Amino acid sequence: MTIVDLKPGQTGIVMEIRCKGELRRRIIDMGITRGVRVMLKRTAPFGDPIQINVRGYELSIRKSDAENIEIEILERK
Amino acid sequence: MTVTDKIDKFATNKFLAVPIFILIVMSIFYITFGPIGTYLKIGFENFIKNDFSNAVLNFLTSLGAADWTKSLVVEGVIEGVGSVVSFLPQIVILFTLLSLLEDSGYMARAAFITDKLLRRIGLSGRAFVPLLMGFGCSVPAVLGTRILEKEKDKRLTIFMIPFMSCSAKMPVYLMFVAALFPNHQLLVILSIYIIGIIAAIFTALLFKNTILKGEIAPFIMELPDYRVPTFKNLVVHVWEKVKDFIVKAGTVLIAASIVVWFLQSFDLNLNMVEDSSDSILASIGVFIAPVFTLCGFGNWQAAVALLSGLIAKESVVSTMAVLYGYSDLPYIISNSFSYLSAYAFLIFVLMYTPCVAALSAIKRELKSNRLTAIFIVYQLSIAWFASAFIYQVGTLIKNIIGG
Repeated sequence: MTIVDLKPGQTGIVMEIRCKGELRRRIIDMGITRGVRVMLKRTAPFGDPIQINVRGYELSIRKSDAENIEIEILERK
Repeated sequence: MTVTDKIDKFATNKFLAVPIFILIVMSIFYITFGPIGTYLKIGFENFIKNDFSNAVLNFLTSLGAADWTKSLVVEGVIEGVGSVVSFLPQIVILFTLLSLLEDSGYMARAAFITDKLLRRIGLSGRAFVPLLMGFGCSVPAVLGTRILEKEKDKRLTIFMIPFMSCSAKMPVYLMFVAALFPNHQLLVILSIYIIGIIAAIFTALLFKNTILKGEIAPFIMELPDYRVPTFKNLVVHVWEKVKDFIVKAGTVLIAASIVVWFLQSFDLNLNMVEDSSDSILASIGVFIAPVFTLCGFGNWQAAVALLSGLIAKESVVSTMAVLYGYSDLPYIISNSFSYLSAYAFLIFVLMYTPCVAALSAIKRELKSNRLTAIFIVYQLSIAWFASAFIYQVGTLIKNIIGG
């Protein structure tokens, strides 16, 4: 599953970034790397993009871009 | 939960975000053009028109200055520059509000909210920031497109920016609206801004699949923490813009006013003329004017004013002030324009080629002479067609209704 499949408030751990080239570089530049925790905050009013929290800061990313980020849901303890 | 989280709960909320966004944009508009801005403008204007102008006149008389010197200083420089400087309060308000929005961190949320809509016209939410800045001044807005990663996004945004009516065009609208639509000022100005936005969207749709084709850029952007804008930052930002405006008033507009004054005070044999319709300026205007006959404002004064607007948009007003006289300006405008021709004129001002400062920024950022040329021709044509369309269709409707 990918970031897009998270529900608001759910956290996942990044397993793999599937895309290549410029998009991959952009994603990594923004701190989304393997093993990092990502929380979905909310979806924008018109349904896209989504707001996520990574390493303590807020990012906005389009669903079509976020679909490349494979995650595993972290169950809350 | 941090403060940013709490604010974002509302500001990017599924249901509240859009109303809040619209409310913010509308308040900016209302504060700048509504009672507050207008009140400040009138106060400032009266000061220049009466107190300052008279003081200078008395001073020159006490020095025993010649009549032509008095005419140059009072009718040329003060009337020309003064008519523009009186809009300073509203420009300060607009830039203050825009930089508050930017410094507070809300601008990034605006990009987050508008991304989906901007994508339909081939852009990303990031383009929202330069587009909104365009309402202040095209020059920083065009430079602001550097935040866009893809060349195509950058160029498309640059093509749209001049339609986001810049603050230098404000004096032109306000002058005409006060003269011809005194009871519907806000409404008429709002309609012009909206027509500008529609033209920008039309432009994007026209070019995104033709000469500005390209792939869609990824949209990954940080939403910075909200901050209370610091007073120092605010002053620095606003002062930068206001300084540009004052420097322009002090240099370009004084020069333009003197040139206009000279061209309208002398004829081709360099004799001082009684009536400015015998002047050099009139000859130039008479030559261009026929182009605008179909738009409803084929008089030489309008043609000359538009021509001087290429130097700086404020010049449209300062030129008219020099030609018609500052104090009688509203009265003369309401006599030489009909509602329809005035509106067509404003639409032309809204859309035609931006000032030289903006053009040089555009040329620098487009990095292409070909695209710059296409851009200039496109703007002139769309301005002319839109203006002629409004005047012709309006006249037709008026004739049908009027019987």
